[in-house]
Amino acid sequence: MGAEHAVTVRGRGPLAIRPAVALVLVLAGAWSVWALELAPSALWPGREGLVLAGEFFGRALSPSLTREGVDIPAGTPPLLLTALRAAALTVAFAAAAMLPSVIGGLLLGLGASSAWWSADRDRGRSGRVTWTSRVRVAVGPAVSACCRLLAAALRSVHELLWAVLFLAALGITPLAAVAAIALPYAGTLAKVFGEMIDEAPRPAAGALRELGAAPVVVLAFGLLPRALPDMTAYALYRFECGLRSAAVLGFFGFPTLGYYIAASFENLYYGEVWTYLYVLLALVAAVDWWSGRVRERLVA
Amino acid sequence: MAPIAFTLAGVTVRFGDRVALDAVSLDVRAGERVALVGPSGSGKTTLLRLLNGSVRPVSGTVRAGDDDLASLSPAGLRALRADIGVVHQDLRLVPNLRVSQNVLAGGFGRQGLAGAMRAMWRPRRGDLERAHALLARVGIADRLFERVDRLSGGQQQRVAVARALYQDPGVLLADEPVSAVDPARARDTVALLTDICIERGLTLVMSLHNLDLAREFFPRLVGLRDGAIRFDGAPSRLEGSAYRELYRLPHAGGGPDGG
Repeated sequence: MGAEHAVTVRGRGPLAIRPAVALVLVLAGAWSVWALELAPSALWPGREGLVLAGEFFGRALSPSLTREGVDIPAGTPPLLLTALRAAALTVAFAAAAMLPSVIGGLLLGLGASSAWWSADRDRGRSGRVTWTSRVRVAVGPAVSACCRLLAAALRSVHELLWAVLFLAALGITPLAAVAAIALPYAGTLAKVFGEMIDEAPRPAAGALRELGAAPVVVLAFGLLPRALPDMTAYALYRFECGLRSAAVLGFFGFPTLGYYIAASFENLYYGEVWTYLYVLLALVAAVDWWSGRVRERLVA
Repeated sequence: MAPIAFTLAGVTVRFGDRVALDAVSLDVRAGERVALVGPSGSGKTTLLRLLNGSVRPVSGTVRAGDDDLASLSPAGLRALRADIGVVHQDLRLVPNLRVSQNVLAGGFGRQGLAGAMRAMWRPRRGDLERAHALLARVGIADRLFERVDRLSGGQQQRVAVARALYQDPGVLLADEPVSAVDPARARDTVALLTDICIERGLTLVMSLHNLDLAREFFPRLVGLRDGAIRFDGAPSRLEGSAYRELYRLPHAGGGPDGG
C-alpha cells in the first residue's frame, strides 16, 4: 500500500515533473540559443549606440515641460496639454475596446465553461434525467469545445496583427483600433473567465438548485458571485494591458500616446519622449491602484 | 391522522456498484419530526436527498404528498423543491453576498430571473421585512446587511436556517446540521430547528450523528444501517438489543451512550 502511494505521488501533482521532460525542456532552450546565434557580446552596443543610449536615458530625470525644437508653428498646443489629451484618448480607446471584449469574453467564457451542463451530467448517474438535461449533456461538451476554439482563434492573432488587418480594411478610423484590441482581448478574457467560472466553488449553486431555482438563476446568483471577484480583478488587469496596447497602436497613426512618442523619438526630442512615457506610467499606476481598491472591496 | 408528507416504497439507490439504500419503505406524516440515526455511511444522507428529488432510485417509488417524484416535470420538481427547505452541514451560502441576499435567495424557487434580479439588487420592502423577521427569530436580527463571510460559523448557520424558512416551506430537511459545531451550540441549533417546526407545523426530517440530541428532541427515530431501516419508533424503544443491533455492537456490555 505504501509503495502504491509513493508511485501515485511521483506521477501526479503540480510539482511533479519527470526528469526526462525537464531534460528535454533544458535542451530545447539551449538549442534555441544556439540556433538564434545569441551571443552575450551582442548586448554591448557600439560607440554610436552608447552615445544615443546615454542621451536618451540622460533625459529620464529631466523630462520636457515645454516643446523642444526651434520652429514651433503658431497655434501648437503646449506639450503638457498634448500629453494629457493623448492620455485621455489612450484611456478612451482602451475603455471602448474593453466594453465589447468583456461582454464577449463573458458570453464566450460561460459557453466554454462546463458550469451550465456538468451538473446535469453528474446528476445523470443518480439523479433525475429530463429531456432538457439530456440535451444539455449531449450538446454541452461540443458547445464548450467550439467556444474554446473560437476564443483561441481570436487571441492567437495579436492586436498588432489585427490592427494591420483592420487598417487595410477600414483605414485609420477609431473603430479599427478599438476592434483590433477588442477581438484578441475577448478571446483572452473568455479563456480566463471560463476557467474561473469552472473553478468557482459550487456548493451554493447546488443549494439554490435544491430550493427550486431555475438553472439561469443558479448560474447568475449561486455560481457567478463566487467567480466575480477574480473575474473583476482580471478584467481590470486587462484594461491595464489595453492602455498599453492603445498606446502602442499610436505607432500606426492613431492619436494615442504612442503616436507622440514615435514622433518625438524620430525628432530626437528625448525629453518629450520621457514626458509621454511618464504619463503612460501614471495611467498604468492609477489603474493598478484602482484595481487593488476594487479587489479589496470584493474579496475582503 | 395527518396526511402523508412522504412515502418511500421499496426504494433502492445505487452509486455505481455500491448499494446506498436497499429496498427501503417509509412513511412520514405531515407535521411529524423524524430523526435519521445510524452509523456513518448507513444511507441517512441518501434518504434525505431522495425526498427532494436530488437522488433518483433505481427501483421503488418516492412520493411527496400525492406526487410521484419520478413522473414530475422539471417545473413540477422545481415547485416541489420550493416547498422543501434544506439545511446542509456545510451551509452552502454565497459567502461574498450579504445576509439579506442569501436569505432572499430562499425565494428563488418561486421566481424567474427577473424576480431574482430584483430580490438581489432592489428588494421589496415587504420582502426585506420578512427576511429581517426571520433573522430575528433565529437570533441575528442585527446582521441583515452584513456580508456572510464576516459572520461566525454559528451565525452563518442561522443564515442558512433563515434562508430555508424564507422559502415558507411545508417541509424542512436537515442533513447533519450540527456535526461540525461544538456540543453546546449543537444542542441550541437542534432546539431552534425543532421549535420552529413545531411553531409552524412543518414536517422535519433531520439526519443526526448525535443520538442524545435525537432522543431529546424527536418523538420518532428511524435507524439505518447498511442502507436498510433497522429501527423505526419512539426513542424510548431504542434501548438494549435494538440499540446494539443498529450500531452492531457486541451483545455483552456496551450500552446506549449516544455520540
